[in-house]
Amino acid sequence: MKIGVLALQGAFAEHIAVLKRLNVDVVPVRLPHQLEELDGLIIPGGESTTITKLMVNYNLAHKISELAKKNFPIFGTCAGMIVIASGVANGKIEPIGAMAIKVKRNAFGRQVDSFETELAIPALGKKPFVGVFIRAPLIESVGKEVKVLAKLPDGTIVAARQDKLLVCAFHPELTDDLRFHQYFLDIISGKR
Amino acid sequence: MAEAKELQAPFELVAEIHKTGKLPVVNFAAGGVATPADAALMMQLGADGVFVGSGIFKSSDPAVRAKAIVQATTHYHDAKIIAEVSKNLGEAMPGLDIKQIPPEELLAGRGW
Amino acid sequence: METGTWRVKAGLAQMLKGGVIMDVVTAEHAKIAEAAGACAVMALERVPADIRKAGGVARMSNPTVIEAIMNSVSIPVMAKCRIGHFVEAQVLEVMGIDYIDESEVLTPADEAHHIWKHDFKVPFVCGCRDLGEALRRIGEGAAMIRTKGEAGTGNIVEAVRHMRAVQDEIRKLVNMPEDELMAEAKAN
Repeated sequence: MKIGVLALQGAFAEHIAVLKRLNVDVVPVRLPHQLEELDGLIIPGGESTTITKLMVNYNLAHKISELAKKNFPIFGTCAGMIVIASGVANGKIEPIGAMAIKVKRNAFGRQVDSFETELAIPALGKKPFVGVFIRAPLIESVGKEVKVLAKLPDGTIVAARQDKLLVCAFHPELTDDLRFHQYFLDIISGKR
Repeated sequence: MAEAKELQAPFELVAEIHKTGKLPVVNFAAGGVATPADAALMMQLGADGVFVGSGIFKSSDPAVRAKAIVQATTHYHDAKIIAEVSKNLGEAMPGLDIKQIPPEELLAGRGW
Repeated sequence: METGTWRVKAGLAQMLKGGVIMDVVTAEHAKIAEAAGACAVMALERVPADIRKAGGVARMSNPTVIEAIMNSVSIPVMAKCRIGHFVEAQVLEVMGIDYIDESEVLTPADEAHHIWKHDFKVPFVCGCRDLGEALRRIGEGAAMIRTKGEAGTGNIVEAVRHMRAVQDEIRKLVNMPEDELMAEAKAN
């Protein structure tokens, strides 16, 4: 299996390290031709304004949006979730609109409000998953075709799946827990 | 002051680096970046990212230079792209030779 | 829910990786930086080249200037405090700044102590010239490191020297027999 990690800006090296631990071939993606022959793509956390601007240069945004229409598996974490959403409530971001979710940026406040907390994610098993939320976004609303995977105790949606598109507002790549990435690989191979 | 400057590092951090081969935190480049090539140079030397202080808003066309430095930082290994974004940037900020600065005016010596 | 953990402090710096952090002195500058793709801005009253020219004592920027910049962009906003000036840092923390740079570009407030940065929920970035200096700052709680270089000169030579020093010393440590690490920690 060969997975691309969008390497324009943000925590791409951390995702690459996790994928290597899962024995997957990894390609850092900075230019459109690097998207060829991939089985899936991870869009990492970082600054969503920076990442979306860099995606427009060199035509990556268009190419990724075309791939998404053909049921290509994409996993977006934090800024990556914003990038593939269909709407962003605040800010001057133009997402590629692949997934039927509306998101809100910096939804929990500034950096001093960044937090970690244990999440119940039934799709990953009984053991709680540590969610690391850094100037994190949230999912305001989801379309009918979207399955909610995780919520905060107050009901805020923080992880979801739509067919082969997977998103979370937190950072599995900053923990040693490989289950979220394994879940993405299982989606690609058709096990889940 | 000489003693305060004598280098001392916590053992547990030294042992951690011996094991992992890298710093436990992100390390950016700062202090003197003025061109897209400067930014890419620091990235190739192992920086995780770049601070640009006076280099942008002391140049003749800040918006264009800022965008070019962002591109060069992403595509730091790609000399073709660095060449392309380095065109038509206007004047870089005026530079200073470190040797011309009186030692008491050097900022890097502050802290220990 | 726990805020201010080491993981969220160091984690924000990980989200800035591969990006450019730009010094800005007005809301207008900040918007230009954001539009150009900066991953964060450093809010200042003067850029280092002007601090160098002005001479005298350089302090934390006026909170009015910092606030105007914070209100103008959605990317993270950093600000500088003087080395050892923990009250300037407290002020920046309550203002909601996203990262504090305990910076040699400002005039140091304490000649013996840097800020004990573990006491804060807001993360800190500090400058270094070599690995020993980087590790001392991390030991005090810095969640991000940068080279010092020589700010305001437009001359990359010092930043290169500092980056190479850090990398060379890391390589040396990796290849060092374990029984020599303790001695190296003291010498380093």
